[in-house]
Amino acid sequence: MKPFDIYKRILLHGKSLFTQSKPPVHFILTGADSAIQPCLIDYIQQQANIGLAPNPSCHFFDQKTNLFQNLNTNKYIQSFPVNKSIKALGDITPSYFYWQTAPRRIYEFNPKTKIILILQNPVDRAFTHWQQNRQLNIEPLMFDDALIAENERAKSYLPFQDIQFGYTDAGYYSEAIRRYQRYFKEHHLLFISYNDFLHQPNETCNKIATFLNVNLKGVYTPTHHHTSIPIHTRQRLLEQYYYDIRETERLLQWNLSAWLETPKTLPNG
Amino acid sequence: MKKYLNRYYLIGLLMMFHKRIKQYIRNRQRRLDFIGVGVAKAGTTALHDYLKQHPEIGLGSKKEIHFFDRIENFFFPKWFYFNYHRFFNFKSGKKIYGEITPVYFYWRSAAANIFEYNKKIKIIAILRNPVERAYSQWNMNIKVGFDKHDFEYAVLNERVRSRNYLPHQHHHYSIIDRGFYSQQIREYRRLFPDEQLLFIKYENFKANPEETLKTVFHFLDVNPNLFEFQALTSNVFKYEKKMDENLRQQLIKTYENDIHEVERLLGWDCSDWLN
Repeated sequence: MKPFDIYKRILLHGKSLFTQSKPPVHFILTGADSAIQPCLIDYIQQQANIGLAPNPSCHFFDQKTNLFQNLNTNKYIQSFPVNKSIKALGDITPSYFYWQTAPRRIYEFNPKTKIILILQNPVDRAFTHWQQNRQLNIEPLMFDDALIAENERAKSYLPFQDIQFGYTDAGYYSEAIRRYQRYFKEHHLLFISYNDFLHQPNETCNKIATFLNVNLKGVYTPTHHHTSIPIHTRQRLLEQYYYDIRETERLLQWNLSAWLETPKTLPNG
Repeated sequence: MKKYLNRYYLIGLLMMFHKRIKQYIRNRQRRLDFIGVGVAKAGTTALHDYLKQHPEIGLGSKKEIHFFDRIENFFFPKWFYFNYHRFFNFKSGKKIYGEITPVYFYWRSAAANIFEYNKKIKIIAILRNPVERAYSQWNMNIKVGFDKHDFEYAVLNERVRSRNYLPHQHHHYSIIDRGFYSQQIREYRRLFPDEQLLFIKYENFKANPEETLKTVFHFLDVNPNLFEFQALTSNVFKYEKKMDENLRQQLIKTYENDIHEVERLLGWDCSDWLN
């Protein structure tokens, strides 16, 4: 720790270095918005071993603040449940994956946090993100128009990122992965692809259980929504994401050729 | 009278009038017109020396001021610009003022800080072949004394070595991490409109500096005819040995996708970076 950090902590919190209470959060689950479905959150909430923050997506580490300002962690720590049977405390917020300063904030809070990242095909992610916004009645535009309007909309949020309407910008995974790899050690990171979750839900749940050192009871059954993106927009988006997907392949040593395929017929007919 | 001259009274006065003082300062201060953000080891010193010779351009009293990459400068952002502006002599009557610090392109928070400082600032970035850039920076580190190990060690252990410095980024050990340009290009494009950004390819700049300087002057809205070109060589560190071929191939593989992404974003032809 640099002397400057010590000054900063004393200045802002009036605490001495030695009486700082250690944060209780053990794991954080982030990733593509649509890959973290409400039924997954329900499934984790039902576990007796795991305690979650009361709001499933509490947006603590992605606040719009200057990096110099420390976050007020006391309220966040107090919001977690206290119970003897709980072995792991966690926070499920998808936008930590996209938010640039989030990994640094998490590192400053607790450098040994375990992080689970769920990745989905960025094209489908953009579309389901738009669908969710449609269902919430925030989004008046159609998908193609929303993609064109994205840059204009983001200007009102500058210098911060646009979580609500940043459909394409949130799909560049390689830098987000690199961002987390810079801060956290390899055995604290677990990357899961959404396809694995769909096809082998039990095995991936076991993977998570061994990663967190807890027992997961019950069966998780994911629900899959078919996305019907027009073929032209899909191809255009795939051209945009091609090298980024290749880069994530290299970083994680996965085979992601399924992401790059364009379906020859529409899935719904 | 004497009882009013204590620090509490003075602080009280400051607190009473702090809004007016702030306003006064804000009105009086002028902002820089352009900023050179990088990349390190890509001819920024040469660019600085060339720009210095132009009569309409005012540069800082030193080259690398390192203002936007330090969060302590942003505790009270607008107040601390004093600290930045003391390097510039705004009374000298130049048309535009600017500065070059090559870390800003790599530093995560720098782009947003520059945006907060001046939304209409113009930004110049020189990009170089990331493999050559990494080797050049390691070579400089050895010569200056920031690093003692050989290149292979520095490449393989970069993440482990710079982890000791977390949550801050490391200035000297980050030789590979600085080479992923695409995200930073996207970041600057997100914050600034395209008219305010100029990306220069280092290889073009080195081959014919006169022409690229003309584009720079055109970009900065200064008269290019006032400048007489004389070739300069600055900041040269000699290589003692060449890079290992296997290592070079490995590095090209790591950068391959990112270079293609840069090509796509800027519409360049970077095939010479891949050989």
